[in-house]
Amino acid sequence: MKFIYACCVICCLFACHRAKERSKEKERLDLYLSEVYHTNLHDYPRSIVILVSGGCGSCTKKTIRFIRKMARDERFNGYTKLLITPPNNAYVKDSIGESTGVRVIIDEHENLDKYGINLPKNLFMECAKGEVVFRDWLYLEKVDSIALKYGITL
Amino acid sequence: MLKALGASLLLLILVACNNNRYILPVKRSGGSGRYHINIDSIRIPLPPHTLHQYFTFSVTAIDGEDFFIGYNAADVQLDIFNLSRQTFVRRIALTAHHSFTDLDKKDQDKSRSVTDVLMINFDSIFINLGNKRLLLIDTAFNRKLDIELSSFRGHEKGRSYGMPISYSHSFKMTWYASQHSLLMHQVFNDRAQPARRPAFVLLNLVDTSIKSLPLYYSDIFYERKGNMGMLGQINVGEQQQQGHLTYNFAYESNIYQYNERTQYVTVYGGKSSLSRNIVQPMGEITEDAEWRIHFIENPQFFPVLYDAQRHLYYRLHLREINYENGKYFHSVLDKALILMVFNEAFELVNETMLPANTYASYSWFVTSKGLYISPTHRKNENDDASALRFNILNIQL
Repeated sequence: MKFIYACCVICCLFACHRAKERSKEKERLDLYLSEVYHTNLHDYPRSIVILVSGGCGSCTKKTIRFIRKMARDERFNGYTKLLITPPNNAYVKDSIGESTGVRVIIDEHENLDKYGINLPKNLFMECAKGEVVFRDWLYLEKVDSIALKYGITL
Repeated sequence: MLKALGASLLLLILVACNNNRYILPVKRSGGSGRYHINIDSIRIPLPPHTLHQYFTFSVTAIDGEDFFIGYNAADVQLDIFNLSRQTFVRRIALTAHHSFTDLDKKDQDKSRSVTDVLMINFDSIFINLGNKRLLLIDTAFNRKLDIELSSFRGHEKGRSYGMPISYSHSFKMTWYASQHSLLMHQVFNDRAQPARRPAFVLLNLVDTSIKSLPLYYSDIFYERKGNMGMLGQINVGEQQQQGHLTYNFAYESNIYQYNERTQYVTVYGGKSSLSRNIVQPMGEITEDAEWRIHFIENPQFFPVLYDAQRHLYYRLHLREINYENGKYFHSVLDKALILMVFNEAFELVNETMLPANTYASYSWFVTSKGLYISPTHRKNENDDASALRFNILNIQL
């Protein structure tokens, strides 16, 4: 019995630790958005955040196509959509076009690094009242699986 | 508890001693107090489709005037400036050749970009295209030579050859006139751990043969199985003293000099008093961000450049910095830039920390006027994108 109890405690500790690790980028993103843009994701019932990486190969044609399609898809009208990009990938803004309801944040003053947000790959997050309900790297074959999950045909 | 503490301390001391064994002290020059640094500057107004900052470039003196050639990835062209007259000279559009039609215009993917350029004179300009092809052109873009770099990989007469590569910012291809050869970095496919094999190679342009030089990474690189994070590069600067090849490593402060005549390598201490002098080995990687954090939290040593006019050597390096900064974080842009000046015996003449947020890394070179350095740090509030600007540091007695 003691053994089972001990296993349960270890499992709980491990799960808590993993949960904390997973939310690291989100915590940093929350601080960045609140301090620099006075935006709080907890204020929105549903939101989609795409963090574009400054790394090479991060924005393939397929990734851009996914972002553009999601931005124009009426099923996501109820979502607050944020696209955050470092200045060296600012052309992503032009790629998705105007009037899409996506708020594009170009990190002109290079604040992302200061807030510890420097990702090797694009990050996709869906949040409900600010809590992450889904997240994955928007990168290579993951673009297909995320598109499939959200019913977007690429 | 005490035993564990004692064992930990002993381990720490052993690790520290192990690292110190490699780092040689620097001798201080007797006349170091007599030197001072003057700073001059130049400003060349930019015509359209040129850049105010180049990271892939070469500098040479032609008929007593200094010329700068830089690769402009956005427009896929080479831009030539006359530094002495402070004028833009001309551009060489590269897209006329099919090899240059599908390159990364953001210059992030170096396998699809120009990794290195070397100008000997207007008739001889070498372009290393993605470490795949080496072209020799003139300013009219006549192609005089086109070499497939991967074709050298293999075995010949019992010897194993890797592939010659070069990068403008670290191991720069260097012209060996006496042997009609280009000095380049030789890389092998050592996937598991790096084997001790010649890391320098001469590419002969007369018969397109290659010859390895008996030069290697330093011992600690092999002992650590190349585990230096993103700081495992060999550095070779463009400005070299005749008859000597001076090189160093991004991960340690020692400076190495190969004497072409005797074929001996002498190791000099280039130890900085303002930073750590060796990179910490990387631990087990659990997430990609650890590469970047290691890069930030360790020093980075840049190529040693020779000043033939003043008989001095310059070496810049970035001081390590803690990644975490209270509730915020530091980036590589926050690392302090340190200049060390040595005489020809590699005695320290001057060590100084340059102003913060001013100079861009990888943006320096030497001419007869002194050490040029570009004031285009991404956090420099006085950055002026309308001109190609350099500060010129002139060390004087």
